[in-house]
Amino acid sequence: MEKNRESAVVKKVMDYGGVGIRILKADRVKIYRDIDNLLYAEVAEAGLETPRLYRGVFAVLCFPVSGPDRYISLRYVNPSGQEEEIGVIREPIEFPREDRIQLAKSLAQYYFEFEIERIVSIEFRYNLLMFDVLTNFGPRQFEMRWRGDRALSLGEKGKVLLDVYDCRYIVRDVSALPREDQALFNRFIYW
Amino acid sequence: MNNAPEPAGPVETPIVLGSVDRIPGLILQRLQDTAIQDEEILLAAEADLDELGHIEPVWLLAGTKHVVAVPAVPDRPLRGPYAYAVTNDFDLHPSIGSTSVRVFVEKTPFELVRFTNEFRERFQRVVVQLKRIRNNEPIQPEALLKLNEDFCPKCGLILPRSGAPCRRCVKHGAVFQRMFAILWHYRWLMLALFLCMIAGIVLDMLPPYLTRILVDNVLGSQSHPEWLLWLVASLAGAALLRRGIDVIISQLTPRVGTAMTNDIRKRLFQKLQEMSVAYYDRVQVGSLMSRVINDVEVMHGFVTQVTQGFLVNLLLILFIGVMLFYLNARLAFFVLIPIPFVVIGTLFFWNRIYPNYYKYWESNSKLGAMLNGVLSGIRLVKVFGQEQRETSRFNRSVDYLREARIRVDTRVGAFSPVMAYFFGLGGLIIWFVGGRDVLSGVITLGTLMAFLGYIGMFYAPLGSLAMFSNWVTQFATASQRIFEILDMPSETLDAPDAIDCPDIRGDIEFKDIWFGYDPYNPILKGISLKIQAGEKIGIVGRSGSGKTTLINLLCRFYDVQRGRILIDGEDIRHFKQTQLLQHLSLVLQEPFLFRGSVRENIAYGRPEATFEEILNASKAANCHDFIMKLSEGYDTPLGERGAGLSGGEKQRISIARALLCNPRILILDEATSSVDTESEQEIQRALEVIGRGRTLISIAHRLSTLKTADRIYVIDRGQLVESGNHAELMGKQGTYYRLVQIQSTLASLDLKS
Ligand SMILES: Nc1ncnc2c1ncn2[C@@H]1O[C@H](COP(=O)(O)OP(=O)(O)O)[C@@H](O)[C@H]1O
Ligand SMILES: [Mg+2]
Repeated sequence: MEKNRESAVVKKVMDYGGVGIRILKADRVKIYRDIDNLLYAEVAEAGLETPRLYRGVFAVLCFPVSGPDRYISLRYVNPSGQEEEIGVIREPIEFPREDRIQLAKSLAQYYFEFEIERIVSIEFRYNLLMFDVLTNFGPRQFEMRWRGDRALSLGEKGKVLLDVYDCRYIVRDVSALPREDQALFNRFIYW
Repeated sequence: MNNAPEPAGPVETPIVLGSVDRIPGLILQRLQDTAIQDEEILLAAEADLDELGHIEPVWLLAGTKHVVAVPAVPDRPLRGPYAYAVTNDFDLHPSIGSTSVRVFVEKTPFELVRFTNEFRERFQRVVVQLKRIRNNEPIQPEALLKLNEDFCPKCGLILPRSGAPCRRCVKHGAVFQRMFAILWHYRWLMLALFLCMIAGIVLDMLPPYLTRILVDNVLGSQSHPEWLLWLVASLAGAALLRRGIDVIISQLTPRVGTAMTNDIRKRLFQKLQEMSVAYYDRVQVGSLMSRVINDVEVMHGFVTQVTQGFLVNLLLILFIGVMLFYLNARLAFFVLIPIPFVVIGTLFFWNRIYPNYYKYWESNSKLGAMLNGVLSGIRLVKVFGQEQRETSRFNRSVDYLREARIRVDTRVGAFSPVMAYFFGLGGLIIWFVGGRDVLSGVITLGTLMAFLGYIGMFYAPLGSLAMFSNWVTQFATASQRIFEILDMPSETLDAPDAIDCPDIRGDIEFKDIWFGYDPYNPILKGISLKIQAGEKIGIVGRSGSGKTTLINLLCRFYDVQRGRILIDGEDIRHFKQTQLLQHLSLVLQEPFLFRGSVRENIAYGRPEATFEEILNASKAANCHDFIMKLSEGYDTPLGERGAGLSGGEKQRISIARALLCNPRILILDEATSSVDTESEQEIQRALEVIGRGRTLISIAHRLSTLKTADRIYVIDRGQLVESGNHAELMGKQGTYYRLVQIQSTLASLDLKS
């Protein structure tokens, strides 16, 4: 009785009557890049004899902050020009190395962020915050409007700064910055 | 930006947009043995991301027949060349943090170049030209080389808004000047304050001097014992006067401060009302509130500081300094010894200890925000049984706040005694040096006593003077943020030559409208449609297709980026907006009710409406009967956002509100979606009566309500795909037909269950 109830609960969570996301398992999907430099996905779909081929596939993270290593949505642009989801890869780690490289490459194209490692200086001038920082791409200077909507929370501990061009500068964990950098940062970005 | 490109090598006058003004030789070399090698390059633009997402230059070259992207890193492959003949289109494709130019071949998008958003504007211009080249139209060099108007053409700094003066290049009204302009209104009060302060300082200077006479001439030499009473009486008098002045100052200061902050708050609110809807998309309401409340408070603090702190301290130091040197110049020098410590200590406080307050304030405001969120969503919390989690979340916030508070208090607490020690040090030095001088008879005991008295008043103001630069910074930031709002051009203000529209017929025309909330990402793509006065129009389409956006444009909550919207043949941007909106009434899907009575809510748009008008409108909107069941009828108070009414009831009240305005154009944006079918039909019938002689635009979720519409427009992904009346569209068997099919299937399911 007890057991039955439990399985009923599990069933309720799992079953969306075919309208939930489609999880792509490693044994049913093949990902590769062809000479046209496009990413292809071959998906074995129910009811089809041969796998269905998707062209111009790209990857987007479902949880870029809370779970950047799992749940990758594979998408493509369908013939009528609309972006469409092919399915979601739950555990990329289960995929062959070659596939993972392609996924990583696609993600690297989709996301471009400067990761701030040190803060050299922040000045408030001309109504802008002038940042001089060290990033994963080396030293950068950028300017940002001092407004709440230009520095957004990134998870519990981080911040995303949007500069005047909308480039993204992220600090994953403000409390992991060296102390004097933190003090400087919190002096201006404290909301 | 580069101008006047020179011919380079085999290439004839290409237009070059990049960090150099000609295409690098290495890039051109890589074109050898490709399809584009002998072509004339028309256009070259430098991007900054390679295919791996590294910062490396990549050049996009557009020839007469092909387009290609060439990475500067030698072993990276070219993208292309793509022959224009095989391409369908080019577009600018935003992703997270970067953007790319895509070329469509056989309807499949290929990425040509990718760049950080810094180059987005440049490539937006490039894409326009690529499309022209593809269509065999000549490229437009002036359009390509046009400078980005969002940035200062001289120094490259971003401008407060397109085409505005640059803050760096134009030295416009300094903050202080403007602050003083505001304070100028209160100049008499300020003058009175100032005079009181001077009087206070003079009185402060008196006691040590009198003490000196008392010690030297009365107690020491005993030459004038009869002065004793007078001196003590003078001391008492001075103290009394001094306290009296304190009282006067304490009465005046808040008046000046609050008068000013009041003034600024009212101006801010006035300004915020004038801002457009688009503005509120951009800013967080929270940060606006903090400006209206906190930043103004900081300014208040500053005024107090200037009038009571800074000026007093400066004058005190000046007066005392002069007095010390007058009493004994040699001894006065010793007074200066601890000054460096005082200054260093103060700076330390501001740089190291004060920032702890920021953390504290932050956690304080986070706690407030959290509390607000939980309490306003309390029903949700209970329904999902999350009290436990919210409690622990709250506890965590409180703990964090406590930690921050402890850090502030302990540091400030440890700092103060250390500073006090240095202040005391000065006195000890004087005791020693001055004491020796007294013993050797160089100065009198009275002089030493006076010295000690003055020193007691000397160091503390010095410390607060050292803090002054920080006060100024804070004040400058706060006032800058306030002026940023006050300086904003009122977006809803009309053009100076805006015309009156006391009356309109209600003809509406959309002419090739392009619009995106983010201009790089259009939502409406070339919509044209025409509505004649008095017509009943339906607009349908999937959610997210841009129906509400279309209405937002008609109401001028936003302005179109391309194309025009005409009412009675006149561009709506030429009308005075408030007048135009009087002829338009809008009922939204989410009814918004204010705190107040039912009657006040219905009469919101026309407070002068008579009782009978209100009753008629309500009857027409089919809300009269349920209102009559309320205990106080039309005077029943509604809670926040109409708490106490059902969704349908709220909606009908908001329809009554719209009807009461007797608009020429009535717009219903999915207004009846949340009403049950029965009341929907009643409202529909009412609308038919009311709708006579008006233009009625209704965006409907339930298509059955549009059967009687004169015309129905079907919008899909920002484009008009079909139009016609119900019968015509059903005959076409297109998008509309399919939508109707789906809905009738659902409806029959509904009936069965
Ligand atoms: N204020 C806004 N800022 C940014 N994007 C918006 C805003 N309002 C709507 N959008 C976007 O514009 C698109 C069209 O929205 P909308 O016109 O409300 O659709 P509809 O009313 O047809 O359901 C949607 O993709 C939506 O996400
Ligand atoms: Mg809508």
